[in-house]
Amino acid sequence: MIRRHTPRANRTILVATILLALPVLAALVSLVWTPYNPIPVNAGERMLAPGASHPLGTDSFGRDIVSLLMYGARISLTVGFVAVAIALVIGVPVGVLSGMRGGRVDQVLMRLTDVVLAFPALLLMIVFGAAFGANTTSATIALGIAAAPAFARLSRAGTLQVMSRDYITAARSANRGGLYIARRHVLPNIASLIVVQASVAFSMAVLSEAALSYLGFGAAPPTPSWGRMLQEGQAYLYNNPLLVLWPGLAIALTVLALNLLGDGLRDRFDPRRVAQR
Amino acid sequence: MLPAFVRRAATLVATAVVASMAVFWLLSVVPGDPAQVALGLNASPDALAAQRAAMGLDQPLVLRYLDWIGGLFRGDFGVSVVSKLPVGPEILDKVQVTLTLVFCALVVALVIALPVGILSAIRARSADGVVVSAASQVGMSVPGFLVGMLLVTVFSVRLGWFPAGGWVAPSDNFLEFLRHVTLPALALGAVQAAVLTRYVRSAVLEILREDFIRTARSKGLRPLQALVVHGLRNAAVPVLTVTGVQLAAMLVGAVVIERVFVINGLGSMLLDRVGSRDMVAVQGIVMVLVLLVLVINTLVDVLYTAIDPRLRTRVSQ
Amino acid sequence: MTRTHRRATTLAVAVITATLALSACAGSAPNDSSTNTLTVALQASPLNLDYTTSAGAAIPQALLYNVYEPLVKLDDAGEIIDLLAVSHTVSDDRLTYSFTLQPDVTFSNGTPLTADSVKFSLDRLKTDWTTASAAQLSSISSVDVVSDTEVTITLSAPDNTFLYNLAGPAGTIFSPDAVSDLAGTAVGTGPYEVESYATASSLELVANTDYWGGTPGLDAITINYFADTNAQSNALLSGDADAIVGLSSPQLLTQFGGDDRFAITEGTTNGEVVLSMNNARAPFSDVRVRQAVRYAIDNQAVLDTVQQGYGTLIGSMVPPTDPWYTDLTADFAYDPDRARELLAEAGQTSLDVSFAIPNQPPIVAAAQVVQSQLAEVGITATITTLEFPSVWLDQVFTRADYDLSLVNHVEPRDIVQFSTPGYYFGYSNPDADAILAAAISGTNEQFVQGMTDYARLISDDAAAEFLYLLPQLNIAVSGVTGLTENSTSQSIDLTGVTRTN
Repeated sequence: MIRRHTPRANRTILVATILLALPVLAALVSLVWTPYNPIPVNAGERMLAPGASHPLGTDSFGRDIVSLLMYGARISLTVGFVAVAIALVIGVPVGVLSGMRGGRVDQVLMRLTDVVLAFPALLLMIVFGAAFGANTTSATIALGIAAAPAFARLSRAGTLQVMSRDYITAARSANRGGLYIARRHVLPNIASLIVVQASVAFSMAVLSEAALSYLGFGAAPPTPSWGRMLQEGQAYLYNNPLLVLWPGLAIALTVLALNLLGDGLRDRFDPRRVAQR
Repeated sequence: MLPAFVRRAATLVATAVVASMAVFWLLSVVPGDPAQVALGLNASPDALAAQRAAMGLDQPLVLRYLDWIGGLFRGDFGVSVVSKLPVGPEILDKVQVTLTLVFCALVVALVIALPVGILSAIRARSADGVVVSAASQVGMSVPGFLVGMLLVTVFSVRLGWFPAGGWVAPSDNFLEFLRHVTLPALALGAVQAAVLTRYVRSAVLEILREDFIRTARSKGLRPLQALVVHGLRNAAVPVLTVTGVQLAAMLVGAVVIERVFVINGLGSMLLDRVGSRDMVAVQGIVMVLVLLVLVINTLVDVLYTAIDPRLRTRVSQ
Repeated sequence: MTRTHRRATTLAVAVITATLALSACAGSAPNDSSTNTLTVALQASPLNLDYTTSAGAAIPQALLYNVYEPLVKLDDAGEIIDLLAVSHTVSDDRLTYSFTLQPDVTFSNGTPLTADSVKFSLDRLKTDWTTASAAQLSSISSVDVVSDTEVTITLSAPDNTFLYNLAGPAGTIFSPDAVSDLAGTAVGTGPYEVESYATASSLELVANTDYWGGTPGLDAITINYFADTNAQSNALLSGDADAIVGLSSPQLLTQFGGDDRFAITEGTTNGEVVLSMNNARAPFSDVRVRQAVRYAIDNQAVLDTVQQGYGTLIGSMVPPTDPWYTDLTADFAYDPDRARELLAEAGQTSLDVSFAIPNQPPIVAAAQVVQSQLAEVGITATITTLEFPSVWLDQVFTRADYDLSLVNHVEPRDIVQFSTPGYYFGYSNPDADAILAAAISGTNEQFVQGMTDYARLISDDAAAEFLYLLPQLNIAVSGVTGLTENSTSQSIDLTGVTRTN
């Protein structure tokens, strides 16, 4: 009665992938080409309405909005990707080690995790920005560090479950080393948990980067980022609300896609939850 | 029970102390000379040196840390290097504002999430359930400050129903307080409502599947009655757990919302003092925020271990 | 619909309706305009109440003239008029200034204003002041009490800027009994007193009913501070404030135009937006490179993009309101070809420079336009935003670790800083210094001519690029009268404000 793959889970993943394709493609294409150069100011073309030459119009500096959004996608996705990578690289080994070794190692590592967990992502980003300069690098590193404890806890919980199974005892008695067990048994089994968490962390990273840029701590000008577009557009909310609408939509779309992806993957990997949908 | 509680408390304190070291070290690396800020343009090098000595900036790091942490234990947060006024009372004032805002946002979130989540779980197979699911997905994806900006533009500037910003304490004038807190609480709480709705729905669905609920229903009780009579207590725990996690997230979200609505809470104070390199104040504020998060996290952990370990992975953020 | 569902829905609807009704009821309560008070929305907030030891334009903006008074003040046209001094005379050698004080003036703590208060206040400049404005009166050599109401100030050398600077914060008269806690309490002779100050939030002023100049126009003034200019204008739109003085984002003006609830005025300021070039090191130690930068900038385009056209183009660091203003805007008119020529001459055809700016939105916006225009002539300027004031003060102002910077210089008549040793401009020109010194100590005609020459020299030598002069944009609800249209001093002068509604 309980099926591993249901049409619903697959459908969610499909929708998510389609939605995510837009920002991802935009980011990738922006590496080689954008309709216009989004950096230079064109004083003569400010605040144009959407039209033939500029499908979404221009901003207060005369820059093409489509190009700005594409460039902004690059920033948001890069920050998210690298931050999640950092969090993975720090968090998973810590969690697995903690779960496998137990005892003092576990205690110490989990206490350290608690300390990091006490620093919410945005707070850490602000403090890092103040300490090391407000730019995407410090923001990404801060995000990665702030997201790591979730991965650590998750990996630890998953590892503990795996370690209690019979084939581990068998492997142990066959004198298999920790690293082998980790690679062969633990990691494949916790992979699904990590993947789901990764997409959740990614979406939180995109939101946090936008908030940070809005506060003025994020990407340095004139680099366009969706959050900065929101901050710059706020002053024109009365004259031209589109300046806020486009980046807002971009953020919402990307975060929605990532959340849906996480949901779909969660459903696909956890058969118990399937029946609830 | 008691030894576990004492152990938890001890862990909390130990974690807080380590966190304080991290805070102090991080902020000591921050560039910008507080003496320069205090004295401003054209201050002579002698005056600057004297100012630095007065601020205690020329002592070794460890001594300054011990000085500071000792003060914290006594409740003395130090004197702001730029405003020359004690930091503690100001933090106390502002933390009340932020906590009140967060509490109101939580109320908004629960008022939306509980009925919507419960109802949509009961009607899981009908169109309602899908709509709620989709709506909550979209709601989670929009940045809170964008919601705030739009709320201000529509309800405050265009319609004039609510003030565009500012804060009135509930003890000063409750009606004015309600007027000022409505939009920011909505902005902060709406996004969290979306998140909570999903968890409420998920928890209720889970409960509805349980055997004892089926038994109750087979006895002839309607779904809502079965839920209330048998399942609510069980559903409450995972929801409470998630609420705790969201509380910590809302505390930080308040930083951005305070900027949009010009509310002088801890978040505004933090951004302001970071800009003026008022390290004493920033240390104090960060420490207070960290302590609040730690306390919330500890409470959530306690709830965690009280429930079915299966749910631990499911409700992980 | 099941019964429970209907009940729940009804309950929800009731709750929501009640909340909206409650808020709407509260929301429709009109602003209490029956009391004679004013709420002003400003941006930068004072660190505390003491401008003798704490920096920042916000403190004198709030307290000068409103709470504290000097012997003379600057009026809305920038003219020096008597204030605490009922009259003054200047000796022929221009070394001695004699002031007769207003009779029966008391500080807000009840103590009387006497010549002793004046001597006390001016003597403190050398010993207790740590902020830079004290140096403006460094030409004072002694202050002598002649009688209770007469005081003479002797200068060490003739100083044409003396009386003007005496009208500024440095000339503030304090009560000798009340300087122990200047940061927390302000005891002055002005028409308003400080009732309370919530740091970075709001300053409450209340009328000084014993004011020597007659009953103040308002019973109380509340100054609310907004870090964000959008929030500041929203406050005015939604009725939470009565006036904005010095709106920094002109694009918000369109929300107020055509709305007869509000009156908008545009006046002048002393705020020059200066694109500074580090004269002390390469590449900007080469005058040709500096001149190239001046030619490369299309000031009108920057003004239009950032300020929606509000503001005045200036050729040197002199506002049109100063007596020695000459229109030098044509001297370095936009000419990118000439810029490229000069750069080629100097052998700098593809420059890479740092552009360290404060993270204030109007500055960040202007910097992006400037960067774009510089790129057209082959100069790559990499922008770094620094927190203002702290990091900018440290890195750019004190350590001069920058190539290009962009900052609003608000103080009146601050072109003299080009001759201040160690100033962050890094400009060092003994000829210019000589011209300035002669102007300051010369006759009045020599003063105006000397300053004119000085300004021209600074411009010709491209010591910096002067993007534009900021306008003073005030918005007030109709019925508020007496707000000074121009910003001529370091004060936001509210002493003449009254309400007719």
